[in-house]
Amino acid sequence: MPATTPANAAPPTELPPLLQIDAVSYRYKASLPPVMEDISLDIRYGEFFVLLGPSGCGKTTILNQVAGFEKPTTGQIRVREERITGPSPDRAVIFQGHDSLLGWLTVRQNVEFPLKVAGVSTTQRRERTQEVLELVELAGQADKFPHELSGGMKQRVQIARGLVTDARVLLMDEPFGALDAQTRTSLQLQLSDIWERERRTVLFITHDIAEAVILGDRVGVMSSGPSAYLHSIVDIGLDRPRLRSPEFNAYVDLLERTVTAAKRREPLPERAGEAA
Amino acid sequence: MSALAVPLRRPARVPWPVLGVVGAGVLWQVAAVLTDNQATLPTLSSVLGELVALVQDPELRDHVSSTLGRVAVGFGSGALLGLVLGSLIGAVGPVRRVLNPYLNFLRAVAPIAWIVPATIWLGVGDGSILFVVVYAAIWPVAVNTIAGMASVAPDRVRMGRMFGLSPFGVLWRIRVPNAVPVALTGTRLSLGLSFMAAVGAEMIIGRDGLGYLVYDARSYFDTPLMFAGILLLGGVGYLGDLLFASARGKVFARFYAGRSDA
Repeated sequence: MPATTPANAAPPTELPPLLQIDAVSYRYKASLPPVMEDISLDIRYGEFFVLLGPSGCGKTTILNQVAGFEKPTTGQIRVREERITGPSPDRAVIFQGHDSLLGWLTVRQNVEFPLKVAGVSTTQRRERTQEVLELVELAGQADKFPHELSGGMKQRVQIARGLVTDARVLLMDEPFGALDAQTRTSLQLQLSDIWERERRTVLFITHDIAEAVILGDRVGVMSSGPSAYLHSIVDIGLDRPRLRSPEFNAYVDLLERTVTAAKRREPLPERAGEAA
Repeated sequence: MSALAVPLRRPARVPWPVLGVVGAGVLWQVAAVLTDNQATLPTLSSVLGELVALVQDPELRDHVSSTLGRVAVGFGSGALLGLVLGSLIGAVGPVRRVLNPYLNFLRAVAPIAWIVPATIWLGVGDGSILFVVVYAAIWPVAVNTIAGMASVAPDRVRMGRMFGLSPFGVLWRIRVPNAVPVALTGTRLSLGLSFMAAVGAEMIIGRDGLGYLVYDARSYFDTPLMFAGILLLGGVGYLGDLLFASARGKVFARFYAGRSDA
């Protein structure tokens, strides 16, 4: 059993799911087939949920809908039983690229930005910003400008900015997609560690199977599009930090078979579930 | 292996800009001597002589200061107007769509063409010259401010909205700072154009200023003085542009962080 898991980790079972995606479909145009169809999914308090799928399956669209940037064509999405109508500081997005970092502000000012908008007092702001900068190991770079940082550091700035408020949900859209393999692995382990300490609810989009196994409590596997559907959900029963091991590889193997079946839009063949 | 590193041979530095200026001067002098007509192409030496005399002449200071004064007032208020106009148009989509054709029409009219209606409205004098200078300064700033505000990355705006910024907050904290470098490029263009407009207007209706000086020299067939005045115009304009660019880099440094157009 992981010794680092805090006592409040297990979501109280009597609570309704934090995030409810309810029969969501989406089409760009009425004349085109839907990108995805009838997606239903509950995400629990404090859970790290990974949505895994091939490109074009609409996983980024789902994230944008949960963020409130886009609206489902049919169906609805609720946070704490309230229907999402637009973006909110309660759901912080960590974007795939670096555009959202403001180039004219230092790292510290970028991380502080949401607190400033929220009207938090200067002393509290300083303190909280310093905390999260230390959490993502960027305290030494705080007075640099974003363009002076590597790609991995920039993504850590975004993560810090997402954590600095008490946003309940973090929405991450392939945040490590553009990084080299080594940086990627190190950031995955770091994120897993941060998540264990902070216990925010995370919806994480990726098409990388190993990434899903390193990070996810549960992994939702999407079929290929158009008319993509949620093919299956795999529980990852591994302790953190998740390093390469025979059990780890068994999950990678299981997810690979699931993804292959999902791409073909076929049910999972017999051997499924043996790793769990 | 030798312990001493062999220094890489550095190519000798050639002062190309200096060579270019000196070369052009020599060509000018040779051409003027060969054509041998001071009234159409005076020798460079005579022009430089006039230039030296001009710079020493206390009257020149008055001409320079009247032109620079007009540029300062006209460019200052024109750039400010352009910035306000550009921000308003850039911020509101429907306003932008309605006003864009007007904007493109107005900026296509040569500022100096307005000297004629200006004299009818404002009389032959400083008011009309200022009108033309202000007109010249407005459009580059306005057009570039609009472009700068429109070119913001969608994720920046999404980020701002997500953390709870109002539409005005998105404008003030994201769109405007995002537009600063592009708007300043427009401002730099405006400075040059308003200087040119001032000189042009002075040539037509001025009673003093550098434009008047050059035009006046021409009417006395004092070609060396005329060329000296033109050299002075180029020099003053060049210097103004350099000063603007270096001040911009210092004052607005953070808005250029990581950008290639600094």
